[in-house]
Amino acid sequence: MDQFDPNRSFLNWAFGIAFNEVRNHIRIKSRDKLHFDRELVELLAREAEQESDISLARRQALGRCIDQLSDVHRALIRQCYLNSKSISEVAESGGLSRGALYKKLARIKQKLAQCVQQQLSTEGGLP
Amino acid sequence: MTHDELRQLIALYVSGEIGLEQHTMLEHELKNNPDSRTLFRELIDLEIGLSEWSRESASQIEMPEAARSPDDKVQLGRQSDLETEKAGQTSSTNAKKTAFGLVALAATLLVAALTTWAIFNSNPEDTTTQAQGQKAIANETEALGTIRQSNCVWKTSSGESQNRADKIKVGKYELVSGVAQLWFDSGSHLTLQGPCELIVDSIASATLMNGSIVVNVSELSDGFLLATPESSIVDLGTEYGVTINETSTEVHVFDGSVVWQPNGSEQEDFTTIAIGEASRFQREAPKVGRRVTFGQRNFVRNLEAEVQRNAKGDLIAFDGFENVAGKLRRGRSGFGWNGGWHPPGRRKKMGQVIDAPGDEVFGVKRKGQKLLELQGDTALLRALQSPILVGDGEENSSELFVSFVLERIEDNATEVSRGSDDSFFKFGLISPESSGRRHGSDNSQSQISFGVTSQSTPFAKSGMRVADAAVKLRDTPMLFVAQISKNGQDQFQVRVRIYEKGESRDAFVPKHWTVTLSNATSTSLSNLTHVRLESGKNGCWQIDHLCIGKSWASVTSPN
Repeated sequence: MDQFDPNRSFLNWAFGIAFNEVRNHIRIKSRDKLHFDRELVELLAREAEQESDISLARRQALGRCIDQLSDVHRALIRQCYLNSKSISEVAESGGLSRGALYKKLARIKQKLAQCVQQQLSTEGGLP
Repeated sequence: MTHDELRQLIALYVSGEIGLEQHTMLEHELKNNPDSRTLFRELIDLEIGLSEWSRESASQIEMPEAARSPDDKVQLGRQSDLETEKAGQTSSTNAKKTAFGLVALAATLLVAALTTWAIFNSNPEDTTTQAQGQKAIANETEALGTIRQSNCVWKTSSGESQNRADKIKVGKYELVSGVAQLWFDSGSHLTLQGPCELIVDSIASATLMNGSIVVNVSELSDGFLLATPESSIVDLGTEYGVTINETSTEVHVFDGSVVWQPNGSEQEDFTTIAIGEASRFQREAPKVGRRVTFGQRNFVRNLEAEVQRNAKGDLIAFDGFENVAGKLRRGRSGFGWNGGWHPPGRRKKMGQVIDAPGDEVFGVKRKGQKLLELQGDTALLRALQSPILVGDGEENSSELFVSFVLERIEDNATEVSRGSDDSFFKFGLISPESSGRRHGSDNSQSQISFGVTSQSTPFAKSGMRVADAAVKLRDTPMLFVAQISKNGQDQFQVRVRIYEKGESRDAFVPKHWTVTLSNATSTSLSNLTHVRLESGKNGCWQIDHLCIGKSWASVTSPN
């Protein structure tokens, strides 16, 4: 990450870094046929680069939105995203089925997405 | 595609649970709709943001009492690592943070895109390196998945114990007896057949020290590295069995292929073992393998272990015909048998194992599975591991249950029509006196049989007595469940319930049966040793999921 030079093309750099990072991980993914083709990957990466400011604003807004969540919901997100426990275990420890946990997470994320939209609209700079 | 549908597809993509068809739809939508790509980026940003926030907050925010569980100690115990990592990142600029998120996005996408590249450039050594890397990040308290087990005896530090904790953790597993399945959250699962000694190294790797296991790597898994003391076995989309004893290691590949890599060897020493192949390696010289007969080892495979588990010990014999090599005689499919299927006489043809349709019938999911087809003048016999003793004294079960999925197939090749003469199907149970082969003739006569007549009506038969029903069965998959029970001195009854596709199975022994044969007299029912399947010369039948058990539930529980 420290090797990133903001003056260079992000796309080329990201592709280079990602390529090397990913290279070691994908050897045993050869069975996985569920991949986007290169054309779509490049398109998404190109658009992501163009929207890097928006992306940063979104994640800053997300931080504020997460602060508005209840403690329980924040704890739930932390458990699910830290990868220290499997989704099944998180569900079990919360007395939920795996499906119910996914639904709960989806509702929280939807709420967060709406909050982010609202925050950005209020700030006036973004749709 | 509606907004909600797109959100749902993206959620499945993010969770890694997206199916092939859904993936194709998502890809098409993203390629052709800029708004959908915008939503995709928004949601990926959300995922990245939540992931970053979770890591950062883990070291800063006290978990509320209400949300804390004993397991949270594991999670909080990792904070020191996170803090160290975070401390090293505090000097990062916003630009770098942005770049991190975008790299994460690019990496997510590139993982998928570069897969194609990897297929053509893959080097098994790198796979090993990656999987070994996964060993390093596992810790002893982290739960890596769940254990499914039934009547297993494990050896632990305090002696032997019945079953054990149902969470997989890094460490040693010594299964003394029984069959257990280790379902890893990484998408792979291992079936252990006792006695077996295995060391779990990480969520995606383990070392087999002794005994037999079957490794099943699902398509969503990133792979599983199985090591032995002398080698590593790298899967390439696979189900395979490994057995290791004091002198040698055998690898049998049921699906996909594997690469055998002796420790400290060069790439030229690697051996690829493909579907339907098996190799044996001497432990003293693991670089050189020798081809052995596929299926020689009697591995308990995934499906069969599942069936056994569901049957709670009441299943006597089972055959799902999951014989990848299609060799019925070898007898490696199913359990509860002594040897394979063979024709009872020279004139009878063998059936053939073919791919099952990718449907689900009567709770049996058949995608990727096999079934047995009997076409023309076909008959097959298979010996049971132990004679079945029905209602013969207190020690023996007073009831016997048999079930299978059956479908009549129109044989286009020979232009045989449905319902033509001599197109019956018969399932029979045979005693020793009638199962022998003399001079190539078929002398095996069933003591009890049931099935479908050429006119598509169900029947049951025992000795000279026959019962049928005025019901015309349709040419769709049917579930046959038969009950054979004693109802008097030397008298038995045979009752058959036939379910058609879409019909719900009874949870318990039903009150109403399709065919009932009462007061059948037979002196040989206390010693049934073989099963016989037979098709008339104009018949074409597909049979699957054959179960023989002591209870209704044991033969009607789906896999």
